[in-house]
Amino acid sequence: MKVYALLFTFLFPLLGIASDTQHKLVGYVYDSESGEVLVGATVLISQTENGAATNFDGLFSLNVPHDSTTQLKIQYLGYEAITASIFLKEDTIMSFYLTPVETHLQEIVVKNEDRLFYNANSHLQKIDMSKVNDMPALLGEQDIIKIMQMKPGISSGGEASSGLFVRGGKSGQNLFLLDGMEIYNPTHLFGFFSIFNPDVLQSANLYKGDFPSQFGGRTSSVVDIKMKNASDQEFKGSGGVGLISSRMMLEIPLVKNKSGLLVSARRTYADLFTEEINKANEDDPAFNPIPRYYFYDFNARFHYNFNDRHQLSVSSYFGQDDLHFNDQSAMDFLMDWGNFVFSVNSQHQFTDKLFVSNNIGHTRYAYGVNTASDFFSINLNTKISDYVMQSNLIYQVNENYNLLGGIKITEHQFTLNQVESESKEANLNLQDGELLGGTEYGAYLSNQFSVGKIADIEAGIRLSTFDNNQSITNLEPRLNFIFLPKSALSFKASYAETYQYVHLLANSGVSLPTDFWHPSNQFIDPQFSRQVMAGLNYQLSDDFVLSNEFYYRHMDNVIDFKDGGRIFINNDLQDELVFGKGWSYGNEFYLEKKNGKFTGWISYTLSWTWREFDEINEGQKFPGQNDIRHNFSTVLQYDISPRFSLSANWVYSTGNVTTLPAGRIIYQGVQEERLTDVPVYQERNSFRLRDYNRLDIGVKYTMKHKWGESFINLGVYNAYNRRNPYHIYFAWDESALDRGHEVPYVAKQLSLFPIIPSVTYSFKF
Amino acid sequence: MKKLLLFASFSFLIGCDNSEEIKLELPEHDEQLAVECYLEDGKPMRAFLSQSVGYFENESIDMKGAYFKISSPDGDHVLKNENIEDPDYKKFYNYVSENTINIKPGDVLEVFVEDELGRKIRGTTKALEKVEIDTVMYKFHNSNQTSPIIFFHDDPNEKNYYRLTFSKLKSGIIEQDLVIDDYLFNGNGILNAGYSFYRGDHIEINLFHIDEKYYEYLKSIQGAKNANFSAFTQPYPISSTVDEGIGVFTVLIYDRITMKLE
Repeated sequence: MKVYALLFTFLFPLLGIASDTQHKLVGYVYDSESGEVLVGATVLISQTENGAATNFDGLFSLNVPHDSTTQLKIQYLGYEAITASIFLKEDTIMSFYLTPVETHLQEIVVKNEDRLFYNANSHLQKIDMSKVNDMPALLGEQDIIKIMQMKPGISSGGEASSGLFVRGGKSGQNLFLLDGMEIYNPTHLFGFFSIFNPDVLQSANLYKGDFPSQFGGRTSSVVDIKMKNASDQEFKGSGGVGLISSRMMLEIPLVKNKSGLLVSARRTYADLFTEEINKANEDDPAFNPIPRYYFYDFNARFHYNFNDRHQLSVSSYFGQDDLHFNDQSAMDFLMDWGNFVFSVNSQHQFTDKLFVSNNIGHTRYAYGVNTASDFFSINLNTKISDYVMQSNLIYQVNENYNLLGGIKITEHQFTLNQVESESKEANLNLQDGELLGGTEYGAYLSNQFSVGKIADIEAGIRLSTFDNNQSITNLEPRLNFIFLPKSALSFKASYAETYQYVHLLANSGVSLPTDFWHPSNQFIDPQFSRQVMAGLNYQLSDDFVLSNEFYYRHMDNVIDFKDGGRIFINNDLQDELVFGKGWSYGNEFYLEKKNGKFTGWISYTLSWTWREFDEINEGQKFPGQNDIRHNFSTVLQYDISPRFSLSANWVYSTGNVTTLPAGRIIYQGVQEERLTDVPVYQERNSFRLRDYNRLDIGVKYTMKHKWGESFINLGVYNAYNRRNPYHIYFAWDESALDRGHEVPYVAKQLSLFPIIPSVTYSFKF
Repeated sequence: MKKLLLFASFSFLIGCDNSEEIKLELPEHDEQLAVECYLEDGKPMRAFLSQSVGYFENESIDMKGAYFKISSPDGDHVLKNENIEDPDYKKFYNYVSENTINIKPGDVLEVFVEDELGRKIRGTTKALEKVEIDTVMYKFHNSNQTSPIIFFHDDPNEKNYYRLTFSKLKSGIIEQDLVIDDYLFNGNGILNAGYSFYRGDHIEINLFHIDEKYYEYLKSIQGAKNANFSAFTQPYPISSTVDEGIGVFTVLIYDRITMKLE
C-alpha cells in the first residue's frame, strides 16, 4: 500500500490549467476586529458553483474571469457575509475583512443558488468558538474539549473527564497543539477541566485519525488550537467570575492596524476559603486540615503584521495545579504539575503562489512531589521537555492544484522519576532517576488537487524518524478523496497510516498528573495505526448538513500495563508493560443545523473497540477501556431574543466497561491486622456499567452598557439528577441479611455529580 | 501518592454520599484453594486454609480432610485439622501442629496441601536475617502530636524489602502499615510513621524483613482492597507466594520495639 501511495504522491497531474480568460485572485480573509485570519472561510463567485476556502493560514486562491465584473460572496460561520465586486486585469492579491456577528439573530443569509463549498478537509471537526460560551458547562467552566466529546466518534472516558478517546484510541494518542506547540497534559484537576481558556482562542479544530500529512507523532487525533490576535485597533477586555474560577483578558493595540498584545489569566479560588477554615481550626487537635488546591492559567500573544505578506507572532502559555497538605505533625505534602509553552510563528506570502510558515518553540510538562517530615524528605520529579522547529510551505501550482510540504524537528528530553531523598539524621542523601532523550523528525509532501468540479483529492506521504541510540524510520501515507456528483452531495474516503514514538504511560482509568511520557527504545516499539474511512456528506438544505461515515482502524504495539503493574518510582518500568494490538470499527452519523435562531447538532456513533494482549485475559480479546456501543449527543441552542438565548445538551451512551472481582477470599494477616475480605480479580473489562445519560441546560442573558456588554449564564448540569454510574464497589452491610441476602455484602454504585446549578457573570468591553 | 489519590476517592464516597445499592449479576466464580501460613521460630505451626468464593456467596471455613505438610531442615511436619483461636490477635486457624518449629536464617521451608477435591497448593520460602531497629526519633509539635521515624541498617549490596507497622499498644489496630523496598534509602534505612501519635501514647513498632514474594503479595492485597473503593486505580489480582492456589507461605522475621512517647 505504501508503494502505491508513494507513486501516487509523486505523480504530479496537472489537472486544469488557468486559462487565458481568467486571472488568479489570491488573498486572505481576516476578522475585521482582531485581525486574525479565518480558517475555512469561503469565497464564492456568485451565480456559479466556483469558489475556494481559506486554508489554515487564512489564504485562498481562485480563478476569476478577466476583464469583466465578478461578484464575490465571502462568508464564514459566526460572521456577517459580505459581497464584493471586482474587475481583474491581471493576477491580484486582495484581502477581505469580515465582522463578527454581534447577536445571534443576524442570520447568515445564503441564497438558494449558493452552496457551501466542500474542500478536502472532510476529516476536520471545527468548534464554533462563538458558541462555546453559550453552552451549559459543569460548574460554569466552559471547556472546548467537552464540546469535542459530543462530536461523532469521540468519547470522554468517564463522567466530567476532559479526556478524548477517538475511534477506539486512548487519551495519550491525541496530539494537542497550541499555536503549533504540543501540550502534553491538557487538563487541570485530575482531568475534570481542560487548560484551554476559550476567551483567548481563535479556533479549535479536531482531526480524527486520518489527519493530513503535515501532522504526525500520534495515532488517534490532532487537536489544533490557535490563540487569537489582540485587537490592533482599540483596547479591549473581557472577563468573568464563576463558581470555581475567575478570569480576565486584555487586548492591547501596540501599533494601529499592525500590532497587538493579548494577555489573560484564570485562577480558581476555593483554596482561599479552605485556608480560612484551616486557620480557624488550627488549635483543634482533632481537626483534619483540608488539603489546599488551586490551579491557574496564563496566556499571552504578541503579533505584528509587517504587511499583507509577512506576519510574526509570539505566544506563550503557562499553567499549574498545586495540591498542598500538612497535617501539622506527620508530614508536609506538596504536589504541583503544569505546562509551559513558548512559540514564535512567522508567515510569508513570498509570491502569489508561494506561502511559507515557520515555527520554533519550546514546550514542557512537569510534575513534582515533595514529602517532608521532621527528619526526612523526598522529592520526586518527572518532566518532558521539547525544543521544536518546523517549516511548512504551500505552492499553488494552479487553481486546481496545491503542493504542500514541510519539515519538523523535535528534540525531546525526558526526566523520569528523578528522586532525591535526604535525612541528616540517617546520613542519607540519595539521588536517582533516568534521563532520556530522542530526536523526532517528520517530513512530508502532499498534493491537493481537484478533478474538474467533481472530485477533490489529497494525497500525501510523511516520513518520520525517531533517533534514540537507535534510529527508527517509517513512511506514513495519507489519502483523502471526495467525490461530488452534485454540489449538495459528496462521497468521501480516506486512508491513513500513523506512527507514535512518544507514549503516555498511565495505569489508571482516569487522567492523573502522575501519568508520564516515555520514548520508544529497545523495549518499547512505536505504536502504529492504520485507518480507513468511507462516507458521505449531504447538504439537505441551506441550513442542514448531514454526514455519515464508516471506519475501521487497526492498531499495533498498543501499550498497557500488566495486571498490578506499577509506574510510580519504578526503575524497571519495561517489566510492567505489555504490548498488544487493538482494533475499532463503527459508524458515525452527524446532522447539524448551522444557521438561524435555532442551531445545533445531533451526533450518533455505533462502535466496537477491542484489545488483545498475550499477558492479559490469557490472550483472549477483550473490550477496550473506551468500548462504548452507542454514543448519542444532542446540542441545541435557541436565540429567543437579542438578550436571551437558551441551550441544552443531552448525552446518552452505553455504560463503560469495568473490571469487577469475580470472588473474594478471607484475609487475616499477621498480629493486629484485622480480618477482611479481599476481592479476587480475574478477567479484565468483563463487566459493563449501566447506561449513562445526562441533560444540561443553560440560559444566557445579555446586558448592554455604555462601556460594553455583560452576560449572566445560568446553567444546570445533570438537570434531572440522574445517578450515572462512575464506579462499582462492594461494601459490608449487615442489614443486607434482613433483606434476604445470603451474605452481608452489597454492591454499590458511586455516582459523581448530582444536579449542579451554576451561575457565571462575564463581561467584555 | 496513591494514598492521596485514595483519600480523594474516599472523600467522594463519604463526603458526597452519592452511592446507592444496586443489583448485580456477577459471572460465575471458580473456587480456588487459599492458604495463609506464617511461621515464626520457636512458635507452633498454624495455618488458615480456606477457598475463594463468589462475592455474594457464603464462605466455607470448614476445610476438613486436607493433607497439610510443612517441610523444614528438621524434617516433615503434618498439620492436623483442628479449629483454634488466638485470643491475643483474634486469629482463626484450622490446621495446626502442637510442635514448635525451629528456624534459622537461611533455612528453606516448603509447604504442600491437598484437599479432598484434589486441589493442591505448593510453596517455598526462605528465612531471612533479622534487621534490627537502630533508633526511633520523634519530635512533638505544638499540638503535642508527633510522627516517629525509625532508623535501621539496610544492606546496600542486596535488594531488600520491608514491612513497617505502627500501632498503639494492645489496641488491636495497625495505625500505619508500610510495605516498601529499599530503593529510596539503600544502605541507610529510614522510615516515617506518617501517622500522628499523641504525647503519652504507648506504641508498638514492628520492622519485618520480608522477601520479594511476600512483598508482592502484601502489595497485591493492599492493591486489591484499594481497587474496590477507588475509581482511580486499576484492579489488582492477588500475587500469591504459593503455586496452584491463592495465599501466602512465609517466615516472619521482625524486630519489635514498644515505647511510650513522652
